[in-house]
Amino acid sequence: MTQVIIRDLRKKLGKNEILKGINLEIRSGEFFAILGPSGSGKTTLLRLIAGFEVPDSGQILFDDKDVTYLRPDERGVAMVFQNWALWPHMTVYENVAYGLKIKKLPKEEIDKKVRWALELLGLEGMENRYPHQLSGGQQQRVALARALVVEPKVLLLDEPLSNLDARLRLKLRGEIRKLQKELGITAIYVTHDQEEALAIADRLALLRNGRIEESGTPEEIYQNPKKLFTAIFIGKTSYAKGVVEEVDGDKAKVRVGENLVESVAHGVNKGEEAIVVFKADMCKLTPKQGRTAIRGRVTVPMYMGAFVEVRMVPLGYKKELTFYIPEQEVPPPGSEITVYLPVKAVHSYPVEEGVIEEEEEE
Amino acid sequence: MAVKVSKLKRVEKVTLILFLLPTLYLLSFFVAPVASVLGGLLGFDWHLLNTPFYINLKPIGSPIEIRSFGPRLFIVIKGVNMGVILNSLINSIIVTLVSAVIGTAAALLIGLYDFPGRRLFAVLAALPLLVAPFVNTYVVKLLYGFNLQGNTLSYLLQHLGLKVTIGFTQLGGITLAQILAFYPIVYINVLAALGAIDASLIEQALNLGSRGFKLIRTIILPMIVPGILAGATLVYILSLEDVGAPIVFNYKNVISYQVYEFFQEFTSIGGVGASAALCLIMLLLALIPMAIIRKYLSLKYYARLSRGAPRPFKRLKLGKKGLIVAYLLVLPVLIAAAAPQIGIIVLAFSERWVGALPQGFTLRNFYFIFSKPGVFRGIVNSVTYLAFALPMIAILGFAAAYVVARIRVKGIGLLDLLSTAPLAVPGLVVAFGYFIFFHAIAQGTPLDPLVSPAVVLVLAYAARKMPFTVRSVYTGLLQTPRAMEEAAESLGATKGKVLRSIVLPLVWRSIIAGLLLSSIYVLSEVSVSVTIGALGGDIVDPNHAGPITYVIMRLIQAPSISGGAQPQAVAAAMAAILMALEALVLFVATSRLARRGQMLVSV
Repeated sequence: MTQVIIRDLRKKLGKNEILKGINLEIRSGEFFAILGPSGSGKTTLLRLIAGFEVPDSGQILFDDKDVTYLRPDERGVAMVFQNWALWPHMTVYENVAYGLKIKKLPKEEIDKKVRWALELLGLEGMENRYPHQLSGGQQQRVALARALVVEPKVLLLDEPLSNLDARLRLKLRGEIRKLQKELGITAIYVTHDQEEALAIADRLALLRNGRIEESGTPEEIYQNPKKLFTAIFIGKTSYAKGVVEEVDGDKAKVRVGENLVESVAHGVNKGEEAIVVFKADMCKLTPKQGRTAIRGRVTVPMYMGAFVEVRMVPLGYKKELTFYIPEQEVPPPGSEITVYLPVKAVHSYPVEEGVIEEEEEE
Repeated sequence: MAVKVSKLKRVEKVTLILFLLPTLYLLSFFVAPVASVLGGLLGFDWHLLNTPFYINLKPIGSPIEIRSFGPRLFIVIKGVNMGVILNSLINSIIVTLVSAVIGTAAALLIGLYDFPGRRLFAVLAALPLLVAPFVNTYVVKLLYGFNLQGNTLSYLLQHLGLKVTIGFTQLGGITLAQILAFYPIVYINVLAALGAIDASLIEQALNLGSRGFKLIRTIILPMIVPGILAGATLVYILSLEDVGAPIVFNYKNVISYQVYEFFQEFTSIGGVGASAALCLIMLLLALIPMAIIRKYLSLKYYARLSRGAPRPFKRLKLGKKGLIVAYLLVLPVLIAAAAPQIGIIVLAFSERWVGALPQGFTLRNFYFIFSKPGVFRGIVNSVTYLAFALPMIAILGFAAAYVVARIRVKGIGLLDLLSTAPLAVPGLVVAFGYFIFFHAIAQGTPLDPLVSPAVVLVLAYAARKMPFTVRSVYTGLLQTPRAMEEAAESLGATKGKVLRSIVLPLVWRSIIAGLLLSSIYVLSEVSVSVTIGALGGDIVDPNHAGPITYVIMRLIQAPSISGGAQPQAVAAAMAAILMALEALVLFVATSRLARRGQMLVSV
């Protein structure tokens, strides 16, 4: 059980400043996810914690011990890599036993621990196979067993599921979380998949351009994002620009074209421009107390099975928004519809140029 | 400050050693000797080079002489004589350009198209890659050289009813011999570049209606330019430093021969100063073009070639016009270039071959190799030198490749440059530099080549032939994800342990392949072998220090040998064994690399 504290960590690679002052406290036994788009610096952060790179400044502490400049082999961490990095010239057993042999444990103890790890991950009977004789999911389990068997202070996982197909990914992420809780190891998990981060972590941090945009529990991050970037990045969202007409406590009414949208206010001021972010999968076609309405003209409706994806242009507005409506009937293109969202699923933020431009380029 | 100290502590001793070993070795046993060529220039009067012997802008005579004696037409191609320096430059430029054209054409035909007889074409084009120093040129001289007794080519033409004698001699002979021997280097590089093209790129062009010459000109050629440049640069340097062809054609008016001659008496026409000046000029002539296209020749170029396995394209069908070009234009050139290699084998089993045709079958030449003490001594010497050089090449080569491939610190570029530089520096410059350097700093000790050439030969072999191992290990490392090592480190393994338990088991094949290549290039090395190697006595002395190539050269130069065999035929027998070894090594090395979806870029 180890606490990880990161203080003002900075790192340049060439002329690029990859990390611009990271501060984090990861609690002992916590499952912590670092989420961010590609290029946000999340893998670099993980490699600094593992010791493969050295920061330009800042500090990394494991409990009270400064490990900033320790070599990887001196840190007592174990890392699971994106491509798993199983050694092709060793069997499953040898791969898993490697870290224990390094520690010079007695042979019987190594054997006991390896068998325990293999059993834990459902790999019994695979001991003598080579990595290329295993399926992707099995290779992933071996990589995990290899890291867990040494009982690391901190388990680092670098997008370990991204090379697997969608179904296996769902299955394994549940297993990883269950194992981590059973063993009580502090785990840091890097991913660009926001759904994965929300599902797996106790807490998570959202990284953007080398800075932590926001951190908190999945519920906090999802339900009440404090920053515009978080609001847009997390969940299925759609956003529009408007002008704030009224602010009342933590609520604000924003004019988007002809619609006046009620929202949760995050530091917006009356008369100023604001970005309204909708949780686009929380809308209905029926009005109800506590819901706000957006009326628009349907451009492209698409039947998606459990829901209908509707692209529509709000009346008096120029940009298209996308909503996911839990209905079976597809509204015809050109028709006018009104979608209703709970006010708590609509958030308004002051305009932040960088965020919007980034989004529109994608 | 405290931070800096902590950062330094992170560098493990092992890493530091891996960096320092090859860097220090190459600095002291390659850079320092080469730089000491400058020392030989002290007090040299550069005006000496301003004579027609070195630079002659008003050559006399025509490069090609055509005369008729009665019904018979004599065509003698002897090339120009514009002085030592210009001769070398002109020869190298012509050899490079012609080799580039022939090599590229052959590679395009064989690599791009399918047609009856393609395999035969491929074998013929690859044959001259089996290097047989001196003997190759000797057979070129028999086949195409100007010879009063007639040459094989003219003999064949006469039997076809043409009353013409064609003969190459002097600089013309050197140019011909080098083109025939070196064009496959372009061929093999272009073939590798073609192999790196993904099928979709060609299919897309075909799909849009591009075909034939237009397809080659607009799509294929631009993509293989790096391959052509890499091959052509190597040909240029090999041609510049080649001393074998000038010796066999006995043509002294080129830089390489002049430097070689210094070692005969320690005085050439201009003394130490002139030899040093010529070395410097040769070095500059070699390095300038190399520097211009260096980006294709650093290790990174080979990395690009080997990364991932492109989907191989299906060879195109060759049309009628193409078939005519292939058989009437390309095939004769391929045969002409492969003929010397075949001729070596014929000569090795012949009693005598001095005129147009070989005479008599015998196995005696091979018997002589082992029974003549001075001859056999060459083999013993070569194997001994190799036994000492190989472990050095293995350790230094692996260290250099590992550091360049894996360590990202400023200054690593220097090692990348150092470890490929021996390919670019003419061997004679290295030999001359070694002589000056060690004779100056270690006079009278075992490091003095006049005392013991053996030590210097081993040091020189290790430096000059290391790049082949470095390159092989480097590409092997690139195919091994770095994360494999990091995984071990994060589990607590130190660098030394990671090297032993992860890196070596994963790249040992690349090391072996590299060492095999280095070995055959050590065995066939000429420049240092026939200069420094000559300092330990002639081959009549059963305890001489010369390696195989030195013995071969002396046999080629010898008028006769006791016991009655033709010395050149004994040399051919040695060359035949050498070629068989080379063929075996190239086969083993390429088959291993081919399995991993990459082409061996041979030199």
